[in-house]
Amino acid sequence: MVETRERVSVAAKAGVFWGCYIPALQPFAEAAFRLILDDLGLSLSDVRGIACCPSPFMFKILDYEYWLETARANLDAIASDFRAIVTLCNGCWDSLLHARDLVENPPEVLHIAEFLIGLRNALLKRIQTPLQNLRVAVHVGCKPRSKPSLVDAIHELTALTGARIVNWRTAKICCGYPLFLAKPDEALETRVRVKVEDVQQVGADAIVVVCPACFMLLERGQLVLRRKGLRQTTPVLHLVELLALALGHKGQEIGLDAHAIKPKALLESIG
Amino acid sequence: MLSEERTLFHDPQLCSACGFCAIVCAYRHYGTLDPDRGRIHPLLSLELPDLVAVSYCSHCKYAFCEAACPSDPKAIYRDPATGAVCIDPIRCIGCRSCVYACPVSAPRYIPELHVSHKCDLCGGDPLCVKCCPTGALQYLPRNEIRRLVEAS
Repeated sequence: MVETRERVSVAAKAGVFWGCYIPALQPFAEAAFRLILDDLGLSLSDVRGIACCPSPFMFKILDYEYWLETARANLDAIASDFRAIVTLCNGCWDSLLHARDLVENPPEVLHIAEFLIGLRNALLKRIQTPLQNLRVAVHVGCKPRSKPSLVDAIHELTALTGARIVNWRTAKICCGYPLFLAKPDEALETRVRVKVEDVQQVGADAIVVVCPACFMLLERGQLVLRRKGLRQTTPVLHLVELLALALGHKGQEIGLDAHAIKPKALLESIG
Repeated sequence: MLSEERTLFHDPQLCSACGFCAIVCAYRHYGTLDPDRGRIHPLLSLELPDLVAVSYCSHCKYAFCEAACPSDPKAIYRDPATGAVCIDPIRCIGCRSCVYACPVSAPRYIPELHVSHKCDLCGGDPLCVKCCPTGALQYLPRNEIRRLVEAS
């Protein structure tokens, strides 16, 4: 169990904002986070009665003020029940964080990596399957780049699993999600293909992301590109999935078999 | 005072070449998501992915585009409220002199409309800055920009 003081400060007043993509398209990320919470002896309530965060990309384009007002309304609803809110999505984190200035006594808005890095010692004690055979490329996404401590936390949590983080030239380049809204073919060719081929060149076994939009583009994008000459595919993992594996959970338990690109070889290398 | 005027500043170290600035700009001004219609242009070089360049207007104190504009009265003028160097599409004759005069070709020619267009700072509240996901784009006083550039 996590130390009593840490548990009270984190669990009793925190909720999880799951967003749209994870419950609808990437339930394995939700499963992985729930397994991590169980291992830590934490119980976070789901936030209910809220709307889409809303998507900072599509809604900022259409109406910036509408985007901000909807995020404010969400945070206002959250504030009555929670002192802190955890998101597994860069987009939800960005939307809710922007709304903090507009809400009286706003809850703390925590990115999943900010939340988990506060529990690093508890996580470290529970590592059962160090992933030292794994070489991973970390893609932090666009929004965390505005907060260097968050970028560091994402890397530290990845390293905590035992996996080796590779250096790759196009690490900082966007996954292509915003461009995909406007020019899908260009986004796939000039962002996804370039990044995936770079990852494969440095010999990484997987791409680790902290955002469901990045996950979708980098994974599903590869399926489209495979029909357009991409020679091999590389599995994409959400950071919480990597942590759940290191905590000793099996791929099937997390739901890795539901990935569009099955991380079969990766699971075999873990043993 | 020019030093108190604010203009765009782009940090190439922070930029991820997401292209969102061009998309929001195109939608704000033309109602299209086509980033080629934006008035700001991220340039991703795969040889130097760590440094993403963005072509955008600096609203120069002595604007080459304004000097080169041959129409009479000039189609390029400075907005007194924001200091932005703007193109009046009614007066523009589509000669592209501004495109060639600008050192970074910030004005772009639109063949369908037969006019050139460029950044107008959204009237002093640039949407690209508000929407930039990494914080690479900022709207800062010129003296602050100078300090940042010199420090880098």
